[in-house]
This record gives sequence, structure tokens and C-alpha cells, in this order.
Amino acid sequence: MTAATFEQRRRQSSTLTTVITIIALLLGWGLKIFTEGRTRPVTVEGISAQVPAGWVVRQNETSASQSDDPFQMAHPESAQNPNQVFTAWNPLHPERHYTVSAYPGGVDLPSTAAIRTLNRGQDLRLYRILDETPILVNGNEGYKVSFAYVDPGDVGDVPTVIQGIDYYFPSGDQTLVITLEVENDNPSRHLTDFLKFLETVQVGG
Amino acid sequence: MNRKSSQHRDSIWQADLISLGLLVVFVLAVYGLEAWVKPVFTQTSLILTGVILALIPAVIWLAFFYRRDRLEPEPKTMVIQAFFLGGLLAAAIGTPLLNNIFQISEWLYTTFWTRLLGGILVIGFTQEFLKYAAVRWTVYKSEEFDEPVDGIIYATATGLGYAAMLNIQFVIESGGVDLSAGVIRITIVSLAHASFAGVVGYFLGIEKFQERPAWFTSLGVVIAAVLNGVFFMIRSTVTTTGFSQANTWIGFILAAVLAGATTYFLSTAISRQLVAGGSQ
Repeated sequence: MTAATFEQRRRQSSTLTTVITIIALLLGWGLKIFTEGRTRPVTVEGISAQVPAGWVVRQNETSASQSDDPFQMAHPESAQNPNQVFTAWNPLHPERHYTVSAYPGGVDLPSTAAIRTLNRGQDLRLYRILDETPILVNGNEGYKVSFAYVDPGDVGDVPTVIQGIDYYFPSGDQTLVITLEVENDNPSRHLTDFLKFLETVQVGG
Repeated sequence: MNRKSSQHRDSIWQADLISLGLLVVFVLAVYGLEAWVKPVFTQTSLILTGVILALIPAVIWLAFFYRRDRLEPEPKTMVIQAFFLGGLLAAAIGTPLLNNIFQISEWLYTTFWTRLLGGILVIGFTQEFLKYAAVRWTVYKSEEFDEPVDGIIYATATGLGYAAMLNIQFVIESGGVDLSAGVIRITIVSLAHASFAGVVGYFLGIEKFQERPAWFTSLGVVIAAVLNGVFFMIRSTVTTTGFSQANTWIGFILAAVLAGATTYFLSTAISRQLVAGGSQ
């Protein structure tokens, strides 16, 4: 084998190694898309949704003992919150939560939002509404509220800033509130995945 | 086979084995220090200590390599450049690709199969290709790369640089490390990456000096990527289930066995290649 052929063989070798790596990474990308697209159905209190596979789902623990006042809330982060239907999160990223809550219908969405804000403002530290606006999602009229508050954590913990977005939609005789909350991060970074989840939430189903 | 080359080769394996032994001593020493002295750190000193610990496995290997590599020494600057290049590629391409583009923490650890397949296809290929590239498009063309075993030396330096950067990133992101648990993690990562890189380097070294098919070095990268994926899948499985303290040690033992087995395999393979080359 001549030196030129030897060198050509080496060049072919490095090209082949690069191509194999690119193919492996493309297959890896396909695996990522497949894995992230996998969901499992969850139905709680007649409300169903497709939750990402592998996520933890915590159901409301007080469904059997509803308060007389349907707007009366326990701590909004608590499973005792009577309006909360379920919360889901990735156990590897517990700093990001999806929550579905149900409120009585028959009230317009901004009014429901105002009552929810009032309750959360009483229970959460430095609860602030950052923005609120009517929206249209897949032809369904809704209402969007962006908010932030501070979670003081346990004694000795550094407090964390929680940012989130509530999406309000009328559904039969209820108003569904589908919430994204993230710790020390901007919720808009997670909106694409959250909106996929949001579109699967329905009463009945 | 010439005598000088044989002695050179033997000295490298001795350096590798002594380094391995010293790393075990290093882990035990830090473990003992933590248990008996119970040092108290501020946040800054904890991070600094972690960063220094992250560099020690590489320093041990490089120091012993130079003490033993007297017969046909590789230029210090080139070995150190390979080390830094490994670290730079990890920081500039490897970590951003895995964390920001592939976002592996979002999906890769979901099931056994995603851990295994994702570990090989995404983590393994990214990391091993970068180590391959660090050697193939730099020192490989140099006249100093003048025998097959040089592929292992430069690739191992690159792997240690890659591991050191991963360890430093881990220490900084964690705001420091628990000394005993941290030192084991640091050593596991260093041993594993040095071993995988050694496999890539072996194939590169043979390819440069012997007539081989074009797919030969690709096979080396594939083997290293598979080893990488399987090793970290096993390690993450054993260290996240059951007895946490015992399993940290299982991860360390796995890494030590991997490094020892790789050193033995590469030593035997290089010897066989040289004997075959000498008898032709």
C-alpha cells in the first residue's frame, strides 16, 4: 500500500467514524422524541388527561369531604386543597408541576380568576399577578393568568421564587384551571410541553 | 519487536496499574480524613476542595506516566494539550449538547431501556467521538505520534481532561461535594473516561501504523460508546437502588474493575499487534 493510499484510507476512516456518530445521534434524537411523546391516561374525579409517562401523579386527598364553600381553599400547594383535582410532576425534575383544578361554573372566567387570586394571595407569600389576558386555544375561549410567589421552604432553606401560568377554560358546569408552576425558572421555557398536556385535559373522556 | 518499544510499553502499563493503585489509596485517604478529622468547610472552600479533588486523578496519572515514560517520552506539552483539549471539548460541546440540545435529564433516565439506548447512542457516542476527534485531528498527524501505544497515551490524557471537566462542573453545580461521596464519584468518572478513551486510542494507534479496513477505528469508537453507555447504566442502576452507601462503593469497584480489565486488554492486544508486526 502506498503512502497516498494509506492516507486516503485514514481519511475514509475518519469520515466513516463521523458519519456513524451522526447516525447514532440522530437515532438518539428519535429515541428522545419517542420517549418524550409517551403518555399515560389519568382520570380523576371525571377529569381525564394524558400525563407524560414516568411522571408522578398526586390526586386530591379530600374529594370525599368537599367544603361547603367551593371556593374555600387550603394551602394551594397542599393535596388538601379541595379545588385541586391532581398534580403531576417529573420525579427527576420536581421543580416543575402541572396541576388541574376545578371550580364551580356559571361565573365568568375573570371572576373565577379573581377569586382564585384572592385565595392564593392570602395563603402564599408575595403572590403577584404578572399578567392576565383572554386567550383562544384550539378554538376554545379561555383566560390566562401569569403569576409569581415566594416559597419560603423549611427553616434554613433558601426561599425559592415560583412562577406559573393558570389557564382557565369553561367545561360544562365547571371551570377547569390548568396550571404550570416552575421554581427559579421562566415558565415560558416549558410552555410547549405544557400546552401539549393542556390540550389533553377534558371532563369525561 | 524492538526492545526499547517493549520496555516503553511495559512502563506504560506499570504506570497505569500504579496509578490505579494510587487512586484507590487516594479514595481511602479522603474517606478516612472525612471519617476521623471531620473537616468543616465554608461554601467557597468546599467548592475549591471539590475542584482540587476533581483534578487529582489526572495529576496522579500524568505524574506517574512521566516518571515511567523515560525511554521514549511523549512531549509533556502535547500530553498536557491533549488533557486540556479533552476538558475544553467537554465544556464547549459535550455538556451543552447533552444538557441543552438533547436535554437528557428530561427523558433519558425514564426507563431501563432509555437509560441503556440513550446512554449508548447519545452520551456514549457524543463523549467518545469528542475524545476521538481531540486526538485524530491534532496529535495524530504529529511526528511525535510514532508508535501504536501513543494512541492510548494521548487518548487517555484526553479522557482524563474530559472527566476532570465533568467533575469540576459537577462540583460547581452542586455547590461543593460531600468529601467521601464526592471523591468516589470523581474517581469513578476519571477511571471510566480514561478507560473508554484508551479503547479509542488503541484503535487509532493501530490504524496509523498498520493496514486496516476503513471501518477499523469506527469499530473502536462504537465499542467505547457501548462500554460508556453500559457502564453508566449499570452504575446509575446500582447506585440509585437499595443500600446507598454500599452501592457507592459498588460503583467504585465497577470502575476499578473496568479500568483494570481495559488496561489488561489493551496491554495484551498491543503486545499481540507488535509481535505480529515484528514477525512480518
